[in-house]
Amino acid sequence: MSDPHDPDFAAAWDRVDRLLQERMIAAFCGEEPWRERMRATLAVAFAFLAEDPERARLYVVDSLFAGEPVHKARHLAIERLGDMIDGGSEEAMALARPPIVALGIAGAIWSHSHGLIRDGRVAELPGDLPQLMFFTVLPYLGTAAAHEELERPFSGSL
Amino acid sequence: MERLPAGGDRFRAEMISRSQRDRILTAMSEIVAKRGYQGATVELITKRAGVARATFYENFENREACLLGGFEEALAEVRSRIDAAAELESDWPGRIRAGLAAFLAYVAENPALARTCLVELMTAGPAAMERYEQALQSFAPVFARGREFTAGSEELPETLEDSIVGGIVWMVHQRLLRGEAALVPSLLPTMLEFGLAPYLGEQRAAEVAAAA
Repeated sequence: MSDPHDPDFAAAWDRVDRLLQERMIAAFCGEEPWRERMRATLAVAFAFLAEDPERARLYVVDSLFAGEPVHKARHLAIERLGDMIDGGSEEAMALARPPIVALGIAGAIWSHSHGLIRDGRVAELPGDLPQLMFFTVLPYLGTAAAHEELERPFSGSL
Repeated sequence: MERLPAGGDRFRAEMISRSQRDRILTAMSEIVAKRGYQGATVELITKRAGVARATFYENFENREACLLGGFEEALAEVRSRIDAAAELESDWPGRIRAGLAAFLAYVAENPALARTCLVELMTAGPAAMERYEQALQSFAPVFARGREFTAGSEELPETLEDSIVGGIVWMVHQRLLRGEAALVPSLLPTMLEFGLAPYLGEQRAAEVAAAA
C-alpha cells in the first residue's frame, strides 16, 4: 500500500492520472457515435486499472486519504469523466439531461471501481463494463439501448 | 424551581453528559465541513463546543470515533424521516418520491452535517469509508423493490441499485462541494427520472418526476 501522507504521493498520483487521461482521451476522441466512444473510454480505463492493482489502489483508494491537493485533482478526474458522459446529452436531444446526471453516473462508476480495487478484485472490473454501460447509456438513449449494452458480445478487452 | 425526581442527580448528570456529547458532535460537523477532516483537531472541536479536552475523551475514544458517532446519529435520523415520509404513500414510486424528498430536505436543513457525512467522512480512513459504503448499500433494497414492477427484471444488471444510490449521493455530493446545499431539494425530479427509469421506463419515470 502506498502511503498517502508521503510527500511524493501527489506526484505519483499525478503521473498515474496523466497516463490514464491520455488513454481515455485517445479513446473518446473520434468520429464514432458517443455511445461507441464512451464504451471504448470506459474499457481502456478499466483495463488500465486492472493491469496494475497496486497502481489502481494508489490512484483510486489511497488517494482518498491524501491531502487537499490530491482530493481536488481526484475530483477533477471524476469531473472529466462526467464531461465525457455528458456528451450523451448532445447526441440524444430528446433525452437531454442536466450535467449533474453525468456527474452522478461518473461518481457511481468511480465508487464501483473503488469497491473492487479496495477488496483486491480489480481484475473483475473490465467484466463489469456491460453493466456500467447499461447504467451510463440509459438516461440518454433509453432502456432499449441500455439493454443492448448488456447483450453485446464481450471479450474483456477492446 | 421544580425539584428533580428521585435519582435527580443521576438524571441531571446524564442530561449534562448528553448535552456535552451533542455539542461536541455539532462542533465536529461544523469544523469538519469548514476545514476538512484532516484540519479538524480535537483542540478546535473542544474549543468550539466549550468543553474540556477530557470531556471529549470521556465521550469518544478518538477523533474518528467522534466523526463516526455523528454519522451514525445523522443516519438514524435521516432513515427515520425517510421511513416516516415513505409509509404515507400507497405505491412504490410514491414511496421513492417521498423518501428521496425527505432525504434531500434533511440535507438542505443540515448543510454542515451533510457535508461532513457525505463529503468528508470518506477521507477519514478505511474504517470510515467502509462504514459509509455499508450505509449507502443499505438503501439499495429500497430501489430493488422496483424489480417487482419490471417486465424482464432478471435481465437488469445486479449492480444497478448500488449504482443508482451511488449516483444520487454523488449528485448531492457535487452540490455540497459547491456550497449549494439549499439547492439540493430541487434535484428531486432529476433524481426520480434517474432512479425510476430502469424499472418503469422513461415515460412513466418522467410522469412521476413531473408530479414531484
